[in-house]
Amino acid sequence: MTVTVLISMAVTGCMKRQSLSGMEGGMEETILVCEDSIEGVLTAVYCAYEWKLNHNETRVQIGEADLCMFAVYREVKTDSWRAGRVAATIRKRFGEEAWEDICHALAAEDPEKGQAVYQTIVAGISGKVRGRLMGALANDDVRRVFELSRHVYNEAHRMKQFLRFREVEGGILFARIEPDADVAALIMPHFADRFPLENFVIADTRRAVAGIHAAGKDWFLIRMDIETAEQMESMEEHYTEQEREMAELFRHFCHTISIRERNNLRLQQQFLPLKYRGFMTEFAKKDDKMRL
Amino acid sequence: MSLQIATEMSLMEKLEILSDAAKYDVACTSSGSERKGDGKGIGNTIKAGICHSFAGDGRCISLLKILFTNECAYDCKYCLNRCSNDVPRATFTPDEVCRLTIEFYRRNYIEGLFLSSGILYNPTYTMGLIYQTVYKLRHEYHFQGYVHIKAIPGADPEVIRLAGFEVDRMSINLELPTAEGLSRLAPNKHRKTILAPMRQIQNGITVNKDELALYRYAPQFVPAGQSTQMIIGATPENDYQILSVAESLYQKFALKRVFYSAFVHVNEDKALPALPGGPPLLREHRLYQADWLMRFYGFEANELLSEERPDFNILLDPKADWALRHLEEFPVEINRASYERLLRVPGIGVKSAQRIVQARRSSMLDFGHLKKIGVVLKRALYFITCNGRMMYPVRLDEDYITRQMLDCKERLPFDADGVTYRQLSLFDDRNFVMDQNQMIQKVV
Repeated sequence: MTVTVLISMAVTGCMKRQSLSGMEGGMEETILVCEDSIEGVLTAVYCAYEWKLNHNETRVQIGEADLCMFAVYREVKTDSWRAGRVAATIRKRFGEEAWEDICHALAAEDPEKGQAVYQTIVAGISGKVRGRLMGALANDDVRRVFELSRHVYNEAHRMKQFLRFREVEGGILFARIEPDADVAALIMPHFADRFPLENFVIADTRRAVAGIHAAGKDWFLIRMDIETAEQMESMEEHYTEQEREMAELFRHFCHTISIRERNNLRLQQQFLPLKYRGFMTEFAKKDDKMRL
Repeated sequence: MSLQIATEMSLMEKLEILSDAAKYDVACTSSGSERKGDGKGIGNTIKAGICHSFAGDGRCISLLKILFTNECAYDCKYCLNRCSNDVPRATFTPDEVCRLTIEFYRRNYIEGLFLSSGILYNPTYTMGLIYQTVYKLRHEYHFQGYVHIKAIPGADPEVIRLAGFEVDRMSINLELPTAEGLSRLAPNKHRKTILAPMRQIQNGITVNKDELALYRYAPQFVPAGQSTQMIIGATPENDYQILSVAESLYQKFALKRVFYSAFVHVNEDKALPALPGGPPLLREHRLYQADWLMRFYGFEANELLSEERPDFNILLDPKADWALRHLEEFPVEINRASYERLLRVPGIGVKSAQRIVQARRSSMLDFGHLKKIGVVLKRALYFITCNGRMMYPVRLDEDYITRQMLDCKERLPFDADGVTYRQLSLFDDRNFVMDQNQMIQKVV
């Protein structure tokens, strides 16, 4: 009987339904589908509490994924007021550090991140956790959020390390990155504080997002469409003469500074994996496009 | 006969000579100082430091490490730039140094500047040149990134004091662990002239902390502390002596770091050892391990080594070595032991110990949790219990545990010296059965 009810629901396309809390708790699962952003996931968490759902049987899913047979899908429309309420609760009850960790975890590329964050907030609010929320690593979901936030934090730190600027015509500093996680918004404040009087652009070619900073002004992010992406490609080709000189000096410096008797290329690769070397001037080979 | 006229060297040539000369100074961190930009200049510093690149020998490149000049009046036997060597000499101008620093910094190649120097005319004159350069960098070029300079032993204390207000870290190389070694290999340098500026900087930092407590925006004196460096393997001191020197430096001079540099053979000299196996890299590695144990794990030098055992174990790191000699301290109960006792377990580091202490507040931990938290169970399982039970039944016997730990192929770095064989035993073969009939029955 349950099966026919569900199929008819799917056929009519109606997503609102009465709660099934009376029946067979084990089989029924409510899946909240939200969009892939911090506001989306936090709105889904708010809705889970607003609609008084059973937290053990609710899952938060990012975007469209494999459909389950015996599950109820509910669409969650992103609402910044609701997301703001959840954010305020997290900051007040669990502290700024936990809020930062959750934001970092949501910048990762993991399909299960929404569910992990949701269950972490549930565990925190229910009072089962003593001390710091992110310290309760015996809980699987808290540990997943911790691992994701650590992954994103490390990726952002590596971007700060290995990003290289190139001076193009007009005195603009241009950098390209291809990170595993969405870290453009995490590294822009660092560089904006470091170079307040420079014009610079950091382009994330994997996600078509770019961070722009004009001298003396605040930074902002833009989403790149095809034309902007092509404009940036052409901008990168027009570097200044001084740029070639400096790149050559630095390449020579890196080469001179290593001690031959202590050569250890495996150790170097452990610290600097090959995938980050694509846009670094000192590792560009003779006929590489990066070699100026 | 054709004349060779010395022409003005290009920036590229100068950089090559002077960075090649500076590379044996292993201090390379850009950490210890946190400073935001003020909006009117260029640069900031991060407390954890940022390593922008890695050289072919695995060391990090985070600063523009150069000598101001490699002309030197001294004749230290281990140094490539000693006055009796015939190498090309070069000198930067302060403007060239500043320009290089700023241009590299803009492109995110470096975190800042590391400036050392050979002795030009006399120590005070050289220190004056270094001071002039960093002053220009800070006040004309408005550079607010990381600056690390070397104080020249024997320079006038007033110049050192003035320079301390412009830099993040100032260091002086101890060069050799004992005064006898120093007088043998570096006859122009004396222990007193090296320790006096260290004391001056230490006092300056203490006084400055009081000033900062009174007025938050007072000028800072050497905010990232001081460090030093010792050459390992050039003189016959044993590991216990070196470690004791390092310990007393940390305690008496409040140093941030002591660096150990394996002796690399660059000069032919009868006072220097031959070192047929290359630089003593494993020894340097063990010293760094012991250094970390002293700073973060609460060990003392006489716990790790002693007069009877003055050298490190080749096969095991110092922490595991200590644990095997003190089996009466183990097993440690994870859910109840103090933080200090958890730190002493091989396989549990500072981060894992902190996580264990936090996680056990909310629930009891078992071995599955520990593995996911990041404890290296392969090593720790011989020394811990969870809720009273050990992971596998283990005899707390020194030989047995040593063999087990070495068995799981403890990876030694640098193809460590020698041991490629192991005493064989019939019991190594897992398929060895007591009763041959059992074997036949299984097959049939």
